[in-house]
Amino acid sequence: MEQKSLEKATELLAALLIGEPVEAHNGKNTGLYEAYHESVEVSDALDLMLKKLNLRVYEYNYAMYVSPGEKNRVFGYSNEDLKRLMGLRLNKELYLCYYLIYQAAACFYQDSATYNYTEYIKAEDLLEAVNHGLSGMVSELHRFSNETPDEKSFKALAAAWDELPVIANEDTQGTRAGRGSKSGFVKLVFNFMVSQGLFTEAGERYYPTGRMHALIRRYFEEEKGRLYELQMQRSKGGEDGAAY
Amino acid sequence: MDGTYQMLHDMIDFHNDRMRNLRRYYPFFCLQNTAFHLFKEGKYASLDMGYITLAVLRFFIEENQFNDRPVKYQEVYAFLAGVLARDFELSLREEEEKELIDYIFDKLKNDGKPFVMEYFDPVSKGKASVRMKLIDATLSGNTVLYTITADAIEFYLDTKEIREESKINIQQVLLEKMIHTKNFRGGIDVIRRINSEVNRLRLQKKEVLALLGSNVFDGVKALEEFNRTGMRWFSEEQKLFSHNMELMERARARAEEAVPGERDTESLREIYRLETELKKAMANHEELLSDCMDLQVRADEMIRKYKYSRLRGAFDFRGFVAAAEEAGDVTMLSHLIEPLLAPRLNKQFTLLQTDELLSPPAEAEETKEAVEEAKEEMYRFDDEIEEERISGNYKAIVKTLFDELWQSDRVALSELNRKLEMRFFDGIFRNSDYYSFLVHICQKKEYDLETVTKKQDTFFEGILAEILQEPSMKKYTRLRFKLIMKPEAEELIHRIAGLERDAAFMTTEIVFERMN
Repeated sequence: MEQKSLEKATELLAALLIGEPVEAHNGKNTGLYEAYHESVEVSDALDLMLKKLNLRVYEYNYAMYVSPGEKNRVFGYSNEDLKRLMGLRLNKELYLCYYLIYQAAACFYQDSATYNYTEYIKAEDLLEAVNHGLSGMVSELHRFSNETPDEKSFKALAAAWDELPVIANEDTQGTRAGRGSKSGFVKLVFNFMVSQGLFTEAGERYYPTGRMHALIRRYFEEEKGRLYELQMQRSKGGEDGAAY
Repeated sequence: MDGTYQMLHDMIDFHNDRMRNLRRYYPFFCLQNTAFHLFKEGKYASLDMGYITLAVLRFFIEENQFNDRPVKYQEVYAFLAGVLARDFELSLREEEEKELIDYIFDKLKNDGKPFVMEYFDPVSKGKASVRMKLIDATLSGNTVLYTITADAIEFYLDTKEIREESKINIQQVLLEKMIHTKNFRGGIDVIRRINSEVNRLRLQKKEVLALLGSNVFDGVKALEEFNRTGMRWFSEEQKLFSHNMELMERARARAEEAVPGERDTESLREIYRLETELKKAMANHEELLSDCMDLQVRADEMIRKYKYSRLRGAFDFRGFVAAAEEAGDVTMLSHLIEPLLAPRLNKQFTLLQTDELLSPPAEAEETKEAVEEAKEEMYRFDDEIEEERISGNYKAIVKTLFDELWQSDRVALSELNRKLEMRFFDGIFRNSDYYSFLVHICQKKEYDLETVTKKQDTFFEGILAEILQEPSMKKYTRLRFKLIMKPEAEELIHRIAGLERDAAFMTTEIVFERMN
């Protein structure tokens, strides 16, 4: 392998890791994008490095995006990292944020292949989606509930959401990110997703980025077999009462 | 025996059902007990939260159900201000009024949290809880819109209207009676209640649809429940509606047939109004029926779509989350979220934290760090304590010795012992300080106390010098004495009560002789 190809591949890896856009038509990394597609040596070298680092690259609309995948010990986040990053204290708050992120993605994609052509969402759309998503469990909680649901159960998540006021203070103008209210949580999650390159914001409207499309379409398409297996395992575990 | 079994069955198996029905009343009594005497030092103790709660619920029913629009904070504010001024005759300044209304509204919303009623569940033999909210809030743009919950409507109707599976039927029977007794004005009220019940069912229908959209399994369950409690009464309700309409027409015809001079124009007007209201109610009811048909069609469509999407080759997020919900494991969500995150590169200060920096309330002025004045503590070491004890004991013995020497020229140890025994009892002979005193004093044969005050050769002399510093001892400084040891034969045996014969202490006899 030529030294030059290795250099290009390393440069490309660095650009992907620090989140610089690697696109075919604009941006300073156009050359790298072309090198990857034109030279087998560059693409082989990058693929090898990615494989060794347990990273994956996905392409969407003539651009490349990197994902750390699951349980990546070098480039992934621990629960504590994420809590620190988002300014959260409790695990159940983190799970609530997970759920909000899932609902935000589900506003655009029902499944990995069905984009429903929604252009953008607003904070209140996400709030409404989460309300709907949890309404079944909330009404169950209202009818009948045991003393303390398990921290990791969806019921605990629904109870946490149900106990939050819509806004923290009637008088303040605009919403601020925070843990004290539903809209505060929504804002917090949107801020986080913008920082992760999944959304861009314009006038309180949140548009999904190419990275979001790429990961949802390609990653889940590629991983669906494994995830279904996991899903089946868990469902069986639930029926048998076995713990995994 | 059967009777007891039946009683236990009623007590235990139906307890949860009873508590679930009781929960509707729980927020009211919580609010009724809201202590106004704790707010603003009891300034508003005359206010009755029970009345205010029911008034606000009625206001919400009026706005949400009859006028079909959500309520904004400003509207609640205006309504409550009216209640306080009209019913409680309160005239308040603007800030006071705002503070009071905010307090009341926060209580009604329970600060956005549901009211949680805990009780003992005799089936699981543990604690269980039920929840209930009176007012719900949604966000639209930057405004919060408030709506009354279906539970709160049921509670409100429960307080006066009769509760049955189909309230519409009961109301219809009531209406029929009212038409018979020519109470047309009362009839209008009844129709309004029918309308509110119809609106409640329409609200419930919307909730079922929303649930179907998010979770098909829960949605299907809710749909079944809705069909069971609401829809099966439709045909009967329709019959009663037409029956009442017929009665109305007859009443109108009778009123119109009367001779023009004898006509009761007031009741004729009421009959017309009642007829119009009844027509509206029938139209509403028909709309509800078509809504429910629509619900059935849309539900079928959603279920079909769901089945279809499960068969497709794509990864189904909703299915995955539904499985996670079923398994009761929220951590499964991490499989969906983790791949979406950007690679973590290093620990860095995130800008998100700046929001946190601004959120703690700022203090009016910075408070100084309080520095407490530490007290200097005196430490006494063990050897100091020992020394103190020794010099105290020596002082007592030395004083006795000097007293004796002051009176006579010679003092034998045996005499001294007697004196000591008289002053301190025989316990002194068990005290090790007594023996160490003898050892120390025997270190020198002669003592000139005047010299001792100036220069001390031994540890004992040091203590002597200290003792002689005291004013009462000053006179002894002139004393000079010497020690004469008696031969071995003259041994003194200190017999001490409580000690065995062999364990007695022995010392040599010493004579202290004054030299001046």
